[in-house]
Amino acid sequence: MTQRNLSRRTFLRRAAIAGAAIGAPCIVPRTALGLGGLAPSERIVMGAIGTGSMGQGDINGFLGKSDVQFVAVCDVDRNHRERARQMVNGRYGNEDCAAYLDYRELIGRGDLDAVMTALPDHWHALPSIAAAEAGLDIHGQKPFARSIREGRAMCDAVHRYGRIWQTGSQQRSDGKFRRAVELVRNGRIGKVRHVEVGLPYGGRHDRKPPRTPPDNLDWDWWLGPAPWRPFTDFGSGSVHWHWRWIMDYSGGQLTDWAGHHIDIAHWGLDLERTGPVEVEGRGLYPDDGLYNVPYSYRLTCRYANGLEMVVADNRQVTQGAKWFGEHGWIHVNRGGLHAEPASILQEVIGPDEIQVYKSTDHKQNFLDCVRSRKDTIAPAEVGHRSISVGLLGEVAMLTGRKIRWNPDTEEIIGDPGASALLGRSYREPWTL
Amino acid sequence: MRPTTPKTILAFAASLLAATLGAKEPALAVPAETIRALIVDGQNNHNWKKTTPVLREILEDAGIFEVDVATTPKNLAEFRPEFSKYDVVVSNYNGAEWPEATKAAFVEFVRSGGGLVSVHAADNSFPHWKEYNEMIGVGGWGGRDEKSGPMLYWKDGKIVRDDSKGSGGSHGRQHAFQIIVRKPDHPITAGLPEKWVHAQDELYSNLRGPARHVTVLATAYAAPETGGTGRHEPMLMAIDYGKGRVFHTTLGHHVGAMRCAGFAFTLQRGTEWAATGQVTLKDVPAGFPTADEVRTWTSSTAFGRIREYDFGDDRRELAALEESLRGAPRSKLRRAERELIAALDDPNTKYAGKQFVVRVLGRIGGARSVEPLSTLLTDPKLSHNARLALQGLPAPEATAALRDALRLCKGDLLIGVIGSLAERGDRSVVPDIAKYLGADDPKLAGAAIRALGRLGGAEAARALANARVPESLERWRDNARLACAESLLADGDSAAAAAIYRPLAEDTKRGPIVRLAAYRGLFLARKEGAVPVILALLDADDATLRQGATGLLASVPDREVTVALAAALAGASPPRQLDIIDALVERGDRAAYAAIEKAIGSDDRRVRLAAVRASGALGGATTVRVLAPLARDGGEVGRAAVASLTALRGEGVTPAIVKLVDDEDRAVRATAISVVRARNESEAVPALLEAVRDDDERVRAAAFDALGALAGEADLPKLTALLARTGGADRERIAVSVRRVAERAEDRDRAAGVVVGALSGADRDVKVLLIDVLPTLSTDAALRAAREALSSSERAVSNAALRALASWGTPAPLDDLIAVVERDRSKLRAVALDGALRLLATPGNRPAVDSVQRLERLLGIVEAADQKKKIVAALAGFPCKEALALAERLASDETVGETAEKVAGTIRSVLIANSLVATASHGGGDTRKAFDDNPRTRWSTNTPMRPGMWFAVDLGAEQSIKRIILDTRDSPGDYPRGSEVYVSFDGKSWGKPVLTSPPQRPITRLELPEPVRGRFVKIVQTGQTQGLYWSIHEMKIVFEE
Repeated sequence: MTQRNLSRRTFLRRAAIAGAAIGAPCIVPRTALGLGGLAPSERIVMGAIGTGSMGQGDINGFLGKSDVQFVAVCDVDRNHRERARQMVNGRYGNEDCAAYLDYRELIGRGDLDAVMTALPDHWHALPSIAAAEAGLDIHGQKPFARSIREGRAMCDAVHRYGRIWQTGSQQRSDGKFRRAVELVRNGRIGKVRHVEVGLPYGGRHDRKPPRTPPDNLDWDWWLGPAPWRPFTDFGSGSVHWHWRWIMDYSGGQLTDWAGHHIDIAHWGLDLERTGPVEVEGRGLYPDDGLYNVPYSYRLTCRYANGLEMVVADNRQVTQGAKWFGEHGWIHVNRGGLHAEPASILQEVIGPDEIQVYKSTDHKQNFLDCVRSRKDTIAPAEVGHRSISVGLLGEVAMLTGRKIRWNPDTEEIIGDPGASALLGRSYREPWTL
Repeated sequence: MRPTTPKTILAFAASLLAATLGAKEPALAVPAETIRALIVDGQNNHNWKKTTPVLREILEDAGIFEVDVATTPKNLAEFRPEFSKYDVVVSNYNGAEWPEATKAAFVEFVRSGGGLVSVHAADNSFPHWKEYNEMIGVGGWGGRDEKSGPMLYWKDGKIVRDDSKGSGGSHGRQHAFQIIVRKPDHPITAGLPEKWVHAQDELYSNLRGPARHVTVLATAYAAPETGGTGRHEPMLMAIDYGKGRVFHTTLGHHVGAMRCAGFAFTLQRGTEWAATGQVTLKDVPAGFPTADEVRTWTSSTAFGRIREYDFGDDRRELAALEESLRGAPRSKLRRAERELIAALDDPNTKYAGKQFVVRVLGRIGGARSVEPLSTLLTDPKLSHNARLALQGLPAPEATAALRDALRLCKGDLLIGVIGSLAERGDRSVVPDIAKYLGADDPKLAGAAIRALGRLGGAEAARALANARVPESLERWRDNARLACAESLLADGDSAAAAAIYRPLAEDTKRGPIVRLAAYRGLFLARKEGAVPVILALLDADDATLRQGATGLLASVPDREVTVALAAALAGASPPRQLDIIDALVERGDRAAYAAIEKAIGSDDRRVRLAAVRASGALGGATTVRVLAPLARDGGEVGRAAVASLTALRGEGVTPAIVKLVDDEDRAVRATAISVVRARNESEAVPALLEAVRDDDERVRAAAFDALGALAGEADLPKLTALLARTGGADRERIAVSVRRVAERAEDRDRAAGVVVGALSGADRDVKVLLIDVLPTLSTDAALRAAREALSSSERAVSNAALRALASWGTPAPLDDLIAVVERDRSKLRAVALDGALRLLATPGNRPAVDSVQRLERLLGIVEAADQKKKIVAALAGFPCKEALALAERLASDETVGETAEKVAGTIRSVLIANSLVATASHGGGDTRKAFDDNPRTRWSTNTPMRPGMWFAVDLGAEQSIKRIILDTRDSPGDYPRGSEVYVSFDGKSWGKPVLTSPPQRPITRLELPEPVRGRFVKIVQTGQTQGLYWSIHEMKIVFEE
């Protein structure tokens, strides 16, 4: 580490003390140049890895924060890379933002405090681990990882170096979800009997022939550790967005949304740092075409405490997290919070009751924690455990077998064939 | 003439044929003589273009049929297939009548011994063709009814013919259902399980027709809860027609239903039977459905198809093959493994096919797959494909094969193999990988380092420690050693872990990030034993280490650590004591409390203060007694003690604090009252009701204040009773408390009941005080009481009532006040007038013209010049034509002329200039940019769109609004994702939206169904985006002239 870096960190420490005294500001209005608040030297210096639609949205969110200074962006698609660079430069009115193809160069700059990643799922692990090893804090998009073994390696790296991690599961910073979780945790529906988690249904059905990759895209880099295939238009004219329906890169709606509603369901049950002991399920897979993730699915997960959680697409159960207790149910999704009896929603949580972590602005919470060095609302272990349910479901559906799981050792019991699917083989020269 | 066959189908057939030829093993049965089958399609209310290829695939897969397809041409008159060339016709046709000659040829074909298979909707076809209906026995829809013939169903062990009236053909909702074989001795059903589940499909019911020579082979129960008839309906039938035979299956609504192994096998057998009267397909396939499980049909050619497959090709057979292996028994998986390996070995199999094979082998493969896979490891293109399967393969042979490949592979391939060996997690390969730690190629050496870190364990740790690695990889080596130490720690060998951690932590030549990670590990390994080491780190020169140490002390778990840290508190230097106290608070473990309590007695002021603060977080009920005396201190410590008393949580804390409310020490009593107030302890109300009798006035005042904050509606009767009993300064205090309780009341009607009740029988002074409370409640009952008091003979009471009405919370008493202005000429008129003007200005969502009329009326009543001026001035608040007219009329008035002129000017400017004022829920003060006629500038929320964000405009004067246009062309993504339009007279009461609109881009046009009058317009954004803001570059509001 360079000397410059050390003094920067000293600065952060001081800022953290000052911040604690003042309290965390929520919304900082941006000035003409968007530079209200802290002087550049006090800001959290960030870089972005993955600047497609999600990445640009996240960059935009961070650019709106006065205590961030973006200095670098990275993407394997030149168009995305340049668009992000222009966004950053436009915000600061200069030409200072650096742009990289290779995330290792971005991380190796030595002047970053944190990175944000918004990448296809198969690229989640390597840059996150590299960033943690370089001593950077990370805002990473969900789902946490493409495989359980990758997720564990990411958690280990983050914990090893005491890094701050926040998963982009922004529902956690939405009052509705926190409120639902507090009501459930404080027994307002009595003991929870079972849980239903509804996630989006569907995928796509298309068959496209391979073609030459466009100039702006480095196809070998895009594939990275994933198996080789010839460049194919995945449905958007390029590979962006619709990689979601191909198993090499994603598990479809199930793994895309597990990091949201399963995450919330776990939060309400205080099972955030463990996992089920049994998962079985069935998925319906497209019978032809490019896409091969299940479009319809139903999983039944059993936990050590006997609780049963059904995770299914929203044609089978209502979207969101729904806890059924002895005295009623509570259901929360992005559209609202509902309960039976509805009077539960009027209940006040007393000062001596369980108060769960409160964050009202997801990205600000990350930045606050970068300064305070405390856990974010969505730390690594929690993100890993949320997606693990979806990934175990994927294994159960692929094999067609009931999976018995030891959440402590993170091993499948008595099914070596299924255990083989906990990790993914990386295409050389990438190794985990 | 040959039937016309689309090219695509021909091509498909050719590929299938090739696939069958390419297969090494023969198909299921060897036909004595090929049966020639003709599928007829071209019209159907079902997707025949998708289902015919599946029918063909199923038939061809049996290995005894040669299949052609006859598709009806556009001009049906040209449809003349040569039926006589075939043994059996399979109808996937439901459409217009064929030409008479074709029909005649078809009847002749079947009558003279040809076969017919009717699939699903084929039995909907030709409702008026007599011979066809005799062939299929029964059919549905197309106007079929009792005149078509009876319905058939199974009841009480036999088939019933039901002639009752009703239309023919129905089905409930699609579902998987059980088929029951009713004729197990027929060649088509022989040997099938008695019951088997068919995949999701339509369950045809109420079919009717001539029903002659029909043998019902199998039925299914149409359960009422699925919308069914509640009867056992025929599903599979065999019909004799002349010398010909007909197999009629009602199943097969879509591809999914046809890919049921039950459908497929009965179709194969039924078609053979219809063609020949015999069934040679005697072996029931292993994948046939069971009584409770649907099974997907797998083509025996699928394995052959792998050899053909390339990227972008039809993948149906491969997808079906994968599906058939999910949950399949081990024996089936082993068979499939053999076939897959054969396809992998086949030199014709393309890259894509091989990749398919290794993916499936990765799921189902075993030791047998190792050898064929490992031969690919040295192939630059296929090496990774081999590892896709080998890396997780549950066979020790896979480890051996990968290990052997270390010698054979070079460069990137070698790196890949090292990575896969690491992921297999078998530590026996550590020495093999360690050989590469010193490789010249830094990429290779780096991969070896990372691999040993992934494998972990003592041997890997030793190899890493002893290796010479290039300087650029030192950091990776440290990382790998830390990972090894973690694995040792996880295995319970904390001594070995600590032996790795300590030198890394204490090596000042290493960077602070590695050192801190090592310290963290050391702490986790040594737990409470490491507390002194970490405490010493608090004095480190390096800021990262100092800051990290604080974090570690706060976060490394275990009660023992808390206890050790607490034990270190007393002996530490005051600055360290502060750090320790911080860490203990952060740990939140109450086991530390005893040490904290001791530190409260410290000589060092800062330590004392920190301990007092910490006691609020870590203390319990017993802490109350410790903090209470400190709270008397007027300085920093006293304030901290009060804050801690306020923050204390836990069992017994509240009663202990409430008990202090009647403490002997009056200072403690006063403090306790302010603490219960701050803590919002409603439990303290009874104690506070006692404390209001305290000798000490300060205590009494605090108690009344606290009651005002904590008492509820239920306590109001006690408070009003107290009001009657108390005199002096306290009476005012109680009145304040009553008002504050009333302000907070959730049930205002109930609170008003208490106050109104207390009014009757109260003395004059109390009455006045209670009347003062009425506007706070402003309920109907309160209004009645105030009106009644207004007519009281006691002047003080009626005056109080007038004051109350003048400050009422709703515009309800407006006309009462105007009436007072009218009848009272005393100085009360001024009070009433001020009140009336105030209520006029209170939002009541009245058109401006109503307010103008009232002002005009008031103007006619009052005489005093200042009052007249006030009224005229108020006109400016209701800009409209009528107000302007009135003001202009008054401009020549001697008394108010000057004011009226000014007002007229104001109204005119508002009406003419239309000066807009816009406000918004988000985005600061940029709202003007939405109206600056500059489409480059914008108002924006500056934060991603969320439902409920709004943008409101005060038009300055009432207008009839027709349309609103939001232009966002310059930020194309920032259009609202849904909007609601509200219109209001007063900018407070918005009511329901006058328009709800879906997203429109890039210009949002909000056209109101009819013009709506109002002064205020609000657009509420109802959608959500991940990252995009809501912006308005230009907003236009169009009015009705």
